[in-house]
Amino acid sequence: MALIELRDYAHTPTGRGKGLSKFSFSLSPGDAFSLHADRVDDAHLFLRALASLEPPEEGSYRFDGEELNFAKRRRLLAVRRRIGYLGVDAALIGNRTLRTNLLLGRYYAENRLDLSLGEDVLDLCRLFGIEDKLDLRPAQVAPEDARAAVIVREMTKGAEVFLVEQAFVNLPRQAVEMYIGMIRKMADSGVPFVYYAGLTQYDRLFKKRDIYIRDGVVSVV
Amino acid sequence: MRDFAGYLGRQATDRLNRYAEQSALFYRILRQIVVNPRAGRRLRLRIVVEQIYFTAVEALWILIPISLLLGSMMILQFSGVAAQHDLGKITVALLIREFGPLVTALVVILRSATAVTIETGYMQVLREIEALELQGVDPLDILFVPRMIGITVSLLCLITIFCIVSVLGGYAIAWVLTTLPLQNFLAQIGKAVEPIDIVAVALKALFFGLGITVISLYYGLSVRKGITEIPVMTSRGAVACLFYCVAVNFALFAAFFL
Repeated sequence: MALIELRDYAHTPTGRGKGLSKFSFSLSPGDAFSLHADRVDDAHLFLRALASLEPPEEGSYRFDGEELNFAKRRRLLAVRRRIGYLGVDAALIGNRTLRTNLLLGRYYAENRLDLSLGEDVLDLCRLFGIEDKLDLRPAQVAPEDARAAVIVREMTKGAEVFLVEQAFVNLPRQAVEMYIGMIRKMADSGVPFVYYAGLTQYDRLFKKRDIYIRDGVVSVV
Repeated sequence: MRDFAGYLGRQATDRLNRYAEQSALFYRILRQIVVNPRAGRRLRLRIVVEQIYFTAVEALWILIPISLLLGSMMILQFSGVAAQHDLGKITVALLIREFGPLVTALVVILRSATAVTIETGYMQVLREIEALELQGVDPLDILFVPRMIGITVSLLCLITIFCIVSVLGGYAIAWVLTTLPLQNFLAQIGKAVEPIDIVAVALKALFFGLGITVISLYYGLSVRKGITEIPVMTSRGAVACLFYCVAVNFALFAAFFL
């Protein structure tokens, strides 16, 4: 069964894009898509639509077979928690430290404040070089470190699907290579994902199928 | 003439929409307070404490001098114009019932309501609210509910402190600095304060707190286009809060004392 399914989805343009004309798309375990678009804003809108962040203006959004009612916020939260969204606009909470940002979801879900970061999270923090910056707020660290914290947060929250956008944005080259390696490992393990590389050499690194968006028309090859 | 009528109609519709949206936001926050879901209860409590610290404790350094200055000034003015036996009643009627809640609300609007609008506006523009949702965290639970509880509780405490400090401190300053006859002043105040005064002031604190929170959050959430919209919304929010407080103050005065 498809994990995410957009049926007859349509959305008006955002930014400089053309919007998304009515299309249907499904993402199942084992799927790996490389996204190509003639406009960055349309690719961004497509990823946000998959992340349930842009309610359809027409059509429906199904997660795990269940049609989402965007008016029921608490149900939406449970779905969004299962989606790893690594868009260029994925943010941290500005008035909390990186550590709290990484723990916030667990603080909330487990109703505890005495939690510490798990070994898997700390390992990733070490890899991205933010281990000694965990007690600083996002504004006190470099944009690359904030971006790394977002990646660590999304990668370790137990998401069942990943939506990745322009891995090279706000990351040093060494970290990009590592990040790409992590995505590749994820793809090999069968976790479904969609990757938008923009106009870079990372475009064809781990694709199995392609999604094209031209003038707002979505087609899957 | 037709254009003017159209303009008036659009303004009225916009205003009604705004009030309806604010009422909906108020209802959702209130329902969440009543439901008090188990998820995030401790986190919520911690943020409530942080909000009380920011709104009440940090405001004391501003509120205490203001209440002392206003209190002493008013007591000196009243003692000049009132017969000695009316001084207690006038002080209670003006300083405790009217100026206390309003001046405190003004301090809270200037310090906290503007901060809440700015913070919410930034969170909206920088997609931080979305980031919370992506972690399965309900923004109502950890952003809106703690603000409402924190600001309302803080207002109640601050108004109480304002009234006590302005009366006692004002009396002390007037007694030290002048030779005005202020005998039996405190006893008169004690006699003049009636239970209805305490109920009216507590209700003002409650309505001010709820209203200021909803209005400041609403204007923060209204930021859509970008960071440049935040100052505009902050200014509108602060003015709306002030109007709301003055209107509620008058409504409660009319309900209790007319």
